[in-house]
Amino acid sequence: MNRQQAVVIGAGKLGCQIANDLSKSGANVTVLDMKKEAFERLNEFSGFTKVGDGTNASILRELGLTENSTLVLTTQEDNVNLFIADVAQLLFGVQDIYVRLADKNKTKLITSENIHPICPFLLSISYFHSLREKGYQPDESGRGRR
Amino acid sequence: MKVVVVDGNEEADYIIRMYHNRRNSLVVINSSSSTANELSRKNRVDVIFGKPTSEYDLRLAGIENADLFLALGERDVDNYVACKMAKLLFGAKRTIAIVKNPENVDLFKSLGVDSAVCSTYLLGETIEREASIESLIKTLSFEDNKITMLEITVEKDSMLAGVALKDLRADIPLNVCCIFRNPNVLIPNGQTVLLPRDKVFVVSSSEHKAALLQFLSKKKS
Repeated sequence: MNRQQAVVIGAGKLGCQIANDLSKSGANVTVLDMKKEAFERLNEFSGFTKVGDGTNASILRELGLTENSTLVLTTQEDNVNLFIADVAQLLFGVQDIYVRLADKNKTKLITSENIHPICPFLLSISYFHSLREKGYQPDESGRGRR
Repeated sequence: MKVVVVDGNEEADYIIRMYHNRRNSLVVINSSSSTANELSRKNRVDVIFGKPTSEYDLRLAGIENADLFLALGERDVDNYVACKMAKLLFGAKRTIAIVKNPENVDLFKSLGVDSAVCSTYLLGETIEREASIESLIKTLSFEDNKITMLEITVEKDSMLAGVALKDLRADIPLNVCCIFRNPNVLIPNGQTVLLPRDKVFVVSSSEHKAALLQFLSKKKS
């Protein structure tokens, strides 16, 4: 039986945590980053690491992406994440792509249903509203209480 | 025509001059404040200091419905996202990006950028063209490429300069059939002496073309 193949590009805090989790859950994970030191955050990890620039199509080709792969894009730069997502879908037909975006407006540039934006800003806002709905109130010392 | 130019230094300067003179409506955006000031001062245009992939900055700059959107930044990915944003969110009719990686030329086009220009790629092509001696010498071939005619200009330091045709010592069969010595056209004989700046037309068989080129481009030692 084939294990689920996953590729994580951008081994920051988020990328490494996702790679650890995927690896623990049994996926065959490859992590790509420009810097070798970035992989130090990988623990409980039994996959592969590779140093290289993910915006270079030749490097992407070496990752063995297929339409059944999961691709997680967590580099520091929105533009890099957006570009790699589009390239991976075009060249390898990847259908399960996650893109971290710091700028919420850039979620408008995602035009494919195979590409899922993860925007910390929007997540925080929606978490804020869900807390409010549950009747959360700051305690006595909390400022800004209405 | 409404033209939007984002980022770039010399490239931006050149494009601004090109379109500013032709009375187009021009919007210039640059993410370096010093470059923005410089471009503005030199070309007497408004240059907006802002990020080419920030929707907010692009909206503030007023780039809606551009006929031409040019992304001239240092990094390929930034130019890609700028073009995509211009097209998708601001209705740019045509987008052009500069790319560093030659591989991105075709990739960008497949991803919806109308045109991608790679300076490395163009540079390579130009060098190839300029360095090839055959392009400096015009050649023509006849009879299924069996007969070659060459046109060569005699340089001051060429072996040919000052030589009478009867004294021309070549190991290959050739015939100098015509000389253009401005403004005269000469049909030469053995006594004719070649002078600097003469345009000489030589006929030979095509199999000797390489040797002929070598012979005709020899310099005086």
